Amino acid sequence: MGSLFAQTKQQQPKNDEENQILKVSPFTEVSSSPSRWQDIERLAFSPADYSDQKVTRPWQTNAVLIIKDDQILYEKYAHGFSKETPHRLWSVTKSLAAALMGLRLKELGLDLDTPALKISPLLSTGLKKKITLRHLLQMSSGLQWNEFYEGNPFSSHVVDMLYIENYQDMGALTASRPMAHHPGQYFNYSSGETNLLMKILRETFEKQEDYDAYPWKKLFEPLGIDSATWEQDGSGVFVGSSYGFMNARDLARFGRLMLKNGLWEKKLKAEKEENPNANQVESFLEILPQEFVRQSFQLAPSTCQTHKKGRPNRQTYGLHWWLNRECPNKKVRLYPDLPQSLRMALGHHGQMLVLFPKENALVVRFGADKKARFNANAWLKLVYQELIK
Amino acid sequence: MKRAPLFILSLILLSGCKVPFFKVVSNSFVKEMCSCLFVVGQDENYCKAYARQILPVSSYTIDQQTKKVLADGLGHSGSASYISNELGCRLEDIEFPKR
Repeated sequence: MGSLFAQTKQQQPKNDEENQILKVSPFTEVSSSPSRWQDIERLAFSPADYSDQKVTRPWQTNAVLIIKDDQILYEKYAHGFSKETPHRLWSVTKSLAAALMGLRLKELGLDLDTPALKISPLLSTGLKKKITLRHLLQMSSGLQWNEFYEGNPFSSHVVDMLYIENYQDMGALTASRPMAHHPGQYFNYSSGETNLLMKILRETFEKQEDYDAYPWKKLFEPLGIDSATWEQDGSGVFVGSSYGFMNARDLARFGRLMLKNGLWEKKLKAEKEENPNANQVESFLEILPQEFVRQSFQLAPSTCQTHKKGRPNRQTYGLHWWLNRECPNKKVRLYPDLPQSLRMALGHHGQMLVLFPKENALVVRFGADKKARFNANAWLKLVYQELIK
Repeated sequence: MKRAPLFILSLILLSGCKVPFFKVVSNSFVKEMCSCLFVVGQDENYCKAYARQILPVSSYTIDQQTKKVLADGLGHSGSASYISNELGCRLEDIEFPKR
């Protein structure tokens, strides 16, 4: 299988282009009235004010960053975290993993409907042969998987994968699961599918060192992200499901890239410093393929077809991005008080990167909500009301 | 919630047996403790509370020089080591004799 890609040279940005990419912060700090953010801050950082007697350990917010039109409107850290501290992203990492796949597919001249089997021998039996990269990115491969955490760890494939029997080779566990549905027809959120994708990505590289460096060369360094850590399983495959780390401002850079459809300005800041009248940006670099970004936010048909325990599923999904869409057959959405245009990377213990494309705004919230659940709908509603003022 | 103490007691009684699932206690602790200390850079007290999953470990050691975390819990031992700034920590497939 390696021979398929052996002849494909990794495309590197030309040196002159690479040097022109904007690496200084694209964000500016602005002074904003503290009273404007009072309720937002209180709900995030003072959970005791809201806890009822049933909540023994309420949610814990470690960071909040709110940006609109590249202006930092609100930023606060707590519990020992700062704007420099890398934070666990948990499943927010999945959206970064998808970006890597988008980059690599374009380099290899493959499209999303390529069967995984074309790259990796892992899915080579029966119905598994029909699983495409799109199916995996849409969490709709049909592979049986139980995605539970602390609440029900006994039958959880995630807990098994990360900590018990399969941490040496997480992708292999996923590929070995039986088929429960026809590929593309049933949405079943699975950390295993992301790690299988990361294993498939590994198989497109001959050398481990090239794979190890790939997220930095192609994504982090071009964006000026310098706080990232991305842990691997025992076989040297990125744990794309869960083990990314970076600080809030760096995650905001990734969010900004998605808001800008994969494009990033060349040295905008430097130009402005040298010439304050240089308000027009002359050129952009395509960091992520624009078509892949567009597809990332398209509603996966499987999410509207899927019924869980007889009830329609409120969750809508793109390519490793959560959406807030209403399906044609039901008028419910994940966050009912927020617009359908929302795009979200959501993680365990309350991690979130939320994009408001119509408002050109984004929100990062890091947490350690080990017991009580942070009410994201209520909190994001407050944020949204401020963003549209 | 009323059943929780009984459930925990059952686990402790069963801890003499080598039940693969019980590895979760020591393995999740060492992995998340290692990342918390050496990737995130938080202090030991914060990390100890954060890394605890389901049940506490019975003992643990941190080697600050080699950036390795070892722990025992429910009849199993776990080990995780810091690899690098980019690749963070990794759980190791090593079973140590129970101390």
